[in-house]
Amino acid sequence: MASESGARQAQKRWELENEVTMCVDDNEEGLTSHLNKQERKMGAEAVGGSSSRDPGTSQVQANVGRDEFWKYDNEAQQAVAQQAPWTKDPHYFKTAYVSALALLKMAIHTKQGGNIEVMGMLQGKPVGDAIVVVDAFVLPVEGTETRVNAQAEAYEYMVEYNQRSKESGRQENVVGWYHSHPGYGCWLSGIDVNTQMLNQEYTEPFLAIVIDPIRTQAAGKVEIGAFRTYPKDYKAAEEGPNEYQTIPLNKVEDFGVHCKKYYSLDIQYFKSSLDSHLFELLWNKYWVSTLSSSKVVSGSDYLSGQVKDLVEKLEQVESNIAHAGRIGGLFLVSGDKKKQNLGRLSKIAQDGCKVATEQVHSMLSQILKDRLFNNNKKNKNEASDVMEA
Amino acid sequence: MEETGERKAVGEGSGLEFKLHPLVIINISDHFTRCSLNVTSGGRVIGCLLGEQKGRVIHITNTFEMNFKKDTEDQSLDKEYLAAKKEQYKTVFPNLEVMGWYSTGDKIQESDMQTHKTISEINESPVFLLLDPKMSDERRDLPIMIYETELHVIERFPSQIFVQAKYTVDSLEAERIAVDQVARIVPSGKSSSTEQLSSHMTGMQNAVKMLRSRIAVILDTVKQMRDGKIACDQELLREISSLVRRLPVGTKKIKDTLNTEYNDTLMMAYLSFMTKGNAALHEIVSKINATYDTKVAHHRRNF
Repeated sequence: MASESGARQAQKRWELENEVTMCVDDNEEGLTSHLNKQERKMGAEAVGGSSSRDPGTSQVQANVGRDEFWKYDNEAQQAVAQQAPWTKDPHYFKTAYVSALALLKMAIHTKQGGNIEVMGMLQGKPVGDAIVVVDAFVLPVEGTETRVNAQAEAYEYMVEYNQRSKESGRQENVVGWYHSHPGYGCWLSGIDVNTQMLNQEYTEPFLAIVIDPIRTQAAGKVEIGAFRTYPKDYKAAEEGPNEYQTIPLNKVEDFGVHCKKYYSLDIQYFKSSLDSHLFELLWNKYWVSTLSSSKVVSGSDYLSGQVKDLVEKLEQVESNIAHAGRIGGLFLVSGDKKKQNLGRLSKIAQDGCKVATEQVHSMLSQILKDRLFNNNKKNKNEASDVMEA
Repeated sequence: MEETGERKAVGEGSGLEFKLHPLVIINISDHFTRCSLNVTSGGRVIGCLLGEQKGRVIHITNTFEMNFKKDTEDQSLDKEYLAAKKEQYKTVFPNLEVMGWYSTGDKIQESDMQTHKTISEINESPVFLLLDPKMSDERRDLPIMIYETELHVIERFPSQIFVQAKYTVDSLEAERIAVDQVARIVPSGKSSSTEQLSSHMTGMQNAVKMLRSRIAVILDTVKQMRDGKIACDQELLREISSLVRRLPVGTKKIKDTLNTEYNDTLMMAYLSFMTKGNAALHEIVSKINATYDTKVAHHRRNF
């Protein structure tokens, strides 16, 4: 009984989530209509604003909207490039639309790189206040452990590649770059900030995407961030702290120094109607790997690394507190330092919870599998049933 | 059960095993969508398949686009373009070789053999992948066919014909995660733990549902065989029986490892709660200290 109600609840939640994606689709329609206005194309046909409640039609319209991203209107794009609305507002671009293809390509490439930073370029176009990334390609550069920098050779390759793409009907220009941060989260380092700033000065519009392949594996979803830097003399408005993420001890300094020089964009994914059709069919063959993969085994290295990092951080705070305690007996320690310790400790607790949650998740699926395949008596009966037959 | 039908159609063939990766499918889909939206004529796209051969298994992992020559009437490949593109991919993916080519449509066309021969100049025995971009709801299988060529004697002349080959879909861990994510378009950016949990569990639930339905199909088939409604396929029965015999999977060793992992996980959860508790305690203590300190200072001043 309990499990049945649980299943129903899960289904309800799933439906709820679907509703959520539906809403996103509506938004996308809004954007599509925006796009149409901008490109002055068949405005009458795409009734983007009308919010039809029937999920079936809304789905179809949303799909059509997604296909629209593949259309490239050279004139309209040039007009946009000439107006260059992004020069007026450093916060102009707010959303990054990433195609399924680009996401897949980036995820595979960064994973292949392993612990080495790799990079590539993004192809796409600006649409309104969003950058649409249609495709990505790999550059022949291998970063040293912690930094990537496009060399002259890679630049040549990039130009050549873009030229060739255009010959086969791929008219999108380069709109940014991506690189990997294996194991230390999605943010821009000092070198990345400089590279991005330089590119934003000369080859606007330009977007930076960072992917963490190792955390991707641990979390079971692609860890990705899209960023743009502010101009050099721009003072970032004091906003609420960005979404908190775990950063290893040896990178914290680099992160802290530069984190106010850029902002992150909202990432949305889109796929063409053919894509979603194929994905649906793919799922029919795909569920096996979802069941058979085991994060407990594949992610154990990452896990111990995370725990080690946590221990180091804890030790640091501990020695700080012990120190403060000893002195505190004699003099009053300034409240500032105490606050700092407090913040650190709560952050560590947060990190710890995150790691534990991830581990519990992978353990859950492991136990589920155990239940399914190992101690089900009824299953055995069924088996003997089959044997008799 | 569709697979038995497939197996008969394949017949001989080279005996190679083909593993298709999702990136290839999405790449072709992207190419097709782009062309059908931007170019008015044709609607048929072609490209090159890249992959690796490991023993008798061929992994098809990547693709790039190709062009027909523009100036000529008949459809012949732009070889210069192909060579340049091949070189570009060689620089970044040194271990990928040209494995064949792809196109879109619902059936093989006559000119395809011509193209196939051109590709043969690069790879001795290329494969031809055909993707049907037409969408229909009835379809349960991927609309993809892979063909090899075989030499047959037709009317006393040896000639090559396309033979259908069997393939499976394979994926790396990174691919799986990305496909999982885009296939269901998980709301991005937010990684709150409840959302993560629900997406994780939904994924598992879907997979288990699928498993259930597949088992139901097997059970149904076996039942029908028992009742004599369909012919008895010995080979199929052997496969089913070997599958069933594998249950339960767990040996003692596996169970022990699972237990260790389980305990480790509990330990981790415990430790993280401890840390959290400590942090909270620390906060309270310092708050109390702060109030107490001011009080003491106040008292001292009074004396």
